[in-house]
Amino acid sequence: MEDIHIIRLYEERSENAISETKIKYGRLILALVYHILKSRSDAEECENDTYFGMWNTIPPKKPENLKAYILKIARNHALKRYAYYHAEKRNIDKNISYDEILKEWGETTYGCEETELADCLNEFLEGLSVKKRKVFLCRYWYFMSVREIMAECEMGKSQIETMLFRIRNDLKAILEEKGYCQK
Amino acid sequence: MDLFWAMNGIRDAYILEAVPQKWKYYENKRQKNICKKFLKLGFTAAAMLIVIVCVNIRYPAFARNIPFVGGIFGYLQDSLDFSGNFVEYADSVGEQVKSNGITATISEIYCDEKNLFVAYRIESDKPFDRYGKDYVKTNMEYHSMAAIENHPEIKLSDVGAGGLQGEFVDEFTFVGVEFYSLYEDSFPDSFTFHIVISSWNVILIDASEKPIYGSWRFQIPVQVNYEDIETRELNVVNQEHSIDKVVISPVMITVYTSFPDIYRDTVNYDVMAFGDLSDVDITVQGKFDYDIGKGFVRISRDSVKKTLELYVIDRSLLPENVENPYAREIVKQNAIVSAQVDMQ
Repeated sequence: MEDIHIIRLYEERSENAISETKIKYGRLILALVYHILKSRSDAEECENDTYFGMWNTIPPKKPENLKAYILKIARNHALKRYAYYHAEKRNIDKNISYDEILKEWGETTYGCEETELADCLNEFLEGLSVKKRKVFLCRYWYFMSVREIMAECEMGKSQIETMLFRIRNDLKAILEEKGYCQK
Repeated sequence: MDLFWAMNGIRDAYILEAVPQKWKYYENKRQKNICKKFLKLGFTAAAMLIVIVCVNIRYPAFARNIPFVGGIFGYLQDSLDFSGNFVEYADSVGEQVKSNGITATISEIYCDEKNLFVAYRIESDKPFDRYGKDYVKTNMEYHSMAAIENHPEIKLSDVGAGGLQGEFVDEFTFVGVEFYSLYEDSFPDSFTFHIVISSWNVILIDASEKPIYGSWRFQIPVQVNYEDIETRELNVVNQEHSIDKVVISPVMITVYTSFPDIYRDTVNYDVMAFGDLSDVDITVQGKFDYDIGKGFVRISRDSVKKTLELYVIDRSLLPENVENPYAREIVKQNAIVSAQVDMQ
């Protein structure tokens, strides 16, 4: 079913909206959230939360791109669930890859609104080559391991690690220049 | 942490650009093998295709008048989600309608009783890339109302995930295939296919929409081609879950299942299929109706040669902490009901 028809089902408050979303995007959602949570049951709960998130936000929202919208909701739910575990020290051992990713950025705090940071990120990403942008998003948006990115982008481990290191440094330099974070 | 939250504001286009290749399979389960078609056509046809491709590249406008060898089905049939031998079973049509600078042609049609496959050729007076240089090259979206004669109340379901599936053969021309169904109902022996298309839409990578509005109205008489269609009654039952039957046509395998009313508030019910050509789930599309406890999944006929393995699963029962919970062995061990179909 086309995305526009799925959105119409949500607008009509048809229960088929969720089943059609699941048919088309269920496994994609699961793949994304599982990468963050590393727990099958949490990932499935998160997948269900995503469908309810869709149900609760469409309408009034009418996403221009349903796939990107679903992925954003799924990622949000996974991050919230991660934060819940992290704050309460629950099940932390399952989130090793996410911890590793957080460590790559260090203990940096950003003194600006999320939207400002997002605008800055988009501006920065626009200036990257498609390959660099893909590597960056695979790691920090999709939470893929370096090994997975190696297969995805057909690059060597050191190439990827070096590329990520340089991208992080370049981004940090821009954020510092704008006064969003401290050196 | 706020940097990761801020990443929610990353542009849709960048997010979609980076979707990992193997995850793309999770979305629409497409498996393409575009090269296969050249092998099947033999030396003469391949040579002709090479000439056409060369002309397409060098003289795109001129190439628009060159007919495809074997028609659009012949050109695309091995690269579609439902790849199969359309050429042998399809009828030529050649109906053409022009509106707002776009000429739409229904070139061929094939109905296997459960599905109606329609091959379209969309030609624009001006290049399609005037809407944007970055656009999806394998699909074209459209808005339409489709129905069949004598059943005006039944709206045909266009089943494709992204409109027509096919390719741009040059900057002016898209050729693609759509398939329509009546869900579990069968098409009558002969009928008229009515479709009114109100817009065409190149799928831009930046997710913006620039539809080309107009009116393209077709009424095509269709005869169901029953040749080489087989129904196997399976009726394998366990814990009120059953695999009822399999309908095998030259291009598609449809598996019908039934299940108890325990999944309504979840999304855990699923049917997976494995063939002998790969170790991944080969279901391409499906629908489960929780009100009546029935559903079906569709599989490309070309994705299995000897044995088709079918598994009904409750996703909540699959084991945790395994690398791939949808691997064949894991699914096999945890299936509620399963069946094997000999395709030979």
